[in-house]
Amino acid sequence: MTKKHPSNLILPDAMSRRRALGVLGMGGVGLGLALAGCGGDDDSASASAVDGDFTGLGQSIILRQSFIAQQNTLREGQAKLWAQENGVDLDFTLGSNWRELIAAIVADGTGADIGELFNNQAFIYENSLADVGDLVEELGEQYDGWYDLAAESAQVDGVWRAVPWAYTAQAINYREDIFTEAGVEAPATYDELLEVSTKLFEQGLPPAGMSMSQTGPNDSANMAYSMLWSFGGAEVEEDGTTVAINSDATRAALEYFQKLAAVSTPNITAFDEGGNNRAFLAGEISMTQNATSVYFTAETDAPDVFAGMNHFPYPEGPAGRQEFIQMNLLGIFEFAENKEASKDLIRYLLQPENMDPVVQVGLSFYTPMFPSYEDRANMPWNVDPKLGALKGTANGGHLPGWPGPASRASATAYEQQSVVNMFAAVATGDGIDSAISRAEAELKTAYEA
Amino acid sequence: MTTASAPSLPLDDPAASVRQRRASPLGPTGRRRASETTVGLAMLTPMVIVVLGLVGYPLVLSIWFGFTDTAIGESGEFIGLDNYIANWNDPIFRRTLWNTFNYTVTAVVAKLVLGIVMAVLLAELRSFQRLWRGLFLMPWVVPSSLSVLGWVWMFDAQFSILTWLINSLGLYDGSIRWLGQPGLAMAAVQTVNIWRGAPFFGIMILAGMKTLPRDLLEAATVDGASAWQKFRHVTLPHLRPLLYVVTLFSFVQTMADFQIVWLLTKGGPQNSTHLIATLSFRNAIQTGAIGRGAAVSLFLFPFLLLILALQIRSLRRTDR
Repeated sequence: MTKKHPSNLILPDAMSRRRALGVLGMGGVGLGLALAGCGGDDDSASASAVDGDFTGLGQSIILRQSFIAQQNTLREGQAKLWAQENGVDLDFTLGSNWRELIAAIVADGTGADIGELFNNQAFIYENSLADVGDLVEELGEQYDGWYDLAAESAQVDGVWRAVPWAYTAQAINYREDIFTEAGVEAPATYDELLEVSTKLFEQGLPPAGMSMSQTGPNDSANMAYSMLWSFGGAEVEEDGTTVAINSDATRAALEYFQKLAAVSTPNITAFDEGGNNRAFLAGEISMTQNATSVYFTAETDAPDVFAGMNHFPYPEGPAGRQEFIQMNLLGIFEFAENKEASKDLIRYLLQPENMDPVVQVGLSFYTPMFPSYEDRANMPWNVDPKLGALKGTANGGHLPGWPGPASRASATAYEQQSVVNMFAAVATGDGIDSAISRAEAELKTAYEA
Repeated sequence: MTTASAPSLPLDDPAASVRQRRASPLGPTGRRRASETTVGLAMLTPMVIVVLGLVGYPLVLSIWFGFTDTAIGESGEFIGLDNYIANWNDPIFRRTLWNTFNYTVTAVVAKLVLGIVMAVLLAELRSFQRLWRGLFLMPWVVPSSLSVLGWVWMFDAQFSILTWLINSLGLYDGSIRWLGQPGLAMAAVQTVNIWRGAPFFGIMILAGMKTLPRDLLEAATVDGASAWQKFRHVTLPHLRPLLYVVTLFSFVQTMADFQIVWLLTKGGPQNSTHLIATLSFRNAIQTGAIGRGAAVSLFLFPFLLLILALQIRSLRRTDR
């Protein structure tokens, strides 16, 4: 049963972030209706024109609670509007501990129909996830194709186990005003990044603060994997089983990071997930890796920082610019009773009239996985020049385990944070060889056990 | 006020007595005992159900999982000791074992010593006793999820009060990576555990000191004993059974700690603060390897059983 939602692929430029924020005040179902109205030229088309009947059915969905509260409000409004129009009894849950909730649901075999998955979790829960290949194909046709990363993150042994919903575009947030004071410009390479960091440090200005901490695993992993790959290193070979961390390229990356850490804030090895955000907003550091949550918060909570900040892309290394992209996927559990209704809800959430306000409000936090979105006039990076560095970062991005395929082993390696800890170790005084050998031993337990 | 007369025994009516004995072969004392047994069982049953359901069943299930390759969403197969062997060969697990030992022994000894000091101080206080007791108990009462947030700020490398204090006293110059340097991070999580747990020791020991007969202390005073001698030879022997039980109890609690470490460091930096509980959570829930995770948490189970046996034995001795 396939339902057609209106294809409003070209949204009016006027659907700005501020407008999206404005309609948030309407709340609930009214909010959803308002957003559907903002969707495009064909206002008469209902966002849930139906040729399937889900009346009286139940749906339960668990999503990650976004750092940007307005995105949560939008999603809840959208899902409730879908439920109202389809006569579905909807149970909508947002959780900051959504990963643990989903683990419990999968273990119990009950509790939700749709769950948001992170990075390579489709590989951990593959046996509990339904095949959604038809929906992925349909959406791919609607949007002229997916980024390659979509298949890398959601296709397990040739079967689509989740719909690649969005990626978290990351860049280096930096204080342009402080850079000007120091007489430096945004770096393009890792060598330049070190030069800039050294000048900031020597001039007593707020230093660099690239998080490298087990307590803040996601931002740290973004930097650790990206740096490792950009120096030509990898944790595993292409075969996905041979651990490859012990290499000259890894050594070069660690030598580099040792120097960078020496001119950075000492907190880099202790930041929790929001720690680098807070330090940046407080003016304690002048650059850090992050999604747009810093920029978003700065606008209201730290206007001076907001006015003086900007973004630059992850730097290039000897092996080019390689970047780890954090993925957000929507999976339908194998035990879901109404899978067609689940697919329809996902299809609905991935329509432009619903995705666009979310990405606009979040300034590209939760960016759709379609290359066709890169040049759309209403995308944040095409509206605000300060977000230009975030444009299309999923293009050529990778998941942990690259250049091998994503797998349960790579998911395990990611969770045990061996790569992050290897970088953190040299930042806190460990020798490079001992850091590598420890990481190698840990990675072998994940890949070669 | 009327007083209900006690039911008369049918001593003056042998026939009635015989009838009653025939009707109830247990006799009046036996009947009372039987009735008490019934009430006792009735009162115990809900607790037994709760314990069996919420402790016994998960425990048995965990033991079983530890011998299987169960993953989240996948029923596993029996693999014998493979999980235990794999864990033993895992450098993170071996580090975690040492961390757990270090964390537990250091924290429990410190809590014991501080608890005794706290109890002695509280016992000697003559004014605002209730206020002081309340204040001392605050760390134990405040939810750790809340209090640990305060510690996160206090352990900031650059801008925390601890760093400022140490810099101001001239003990060290510069930033201190409280949560970013392996050795310091372990000391930090131990400090929070001690801060939170010492009041429990203090109050328990204070309660024990309140049961100390005054005449023993007075006799020691008459004999010319100093304050230290009275504490060493009168108070401490009196408290010994209590200290034994409280220490064993705390040992088990500290060894199974999760919240403080997870909230402060998530086991980092570089796995230097991972405890059995946090590593088990990471393996079982975050990576989905339920069997491996269960084997992590059960590795110390025989040791904990031994402590439990010692604790029960000690309680029995105390009862006698």
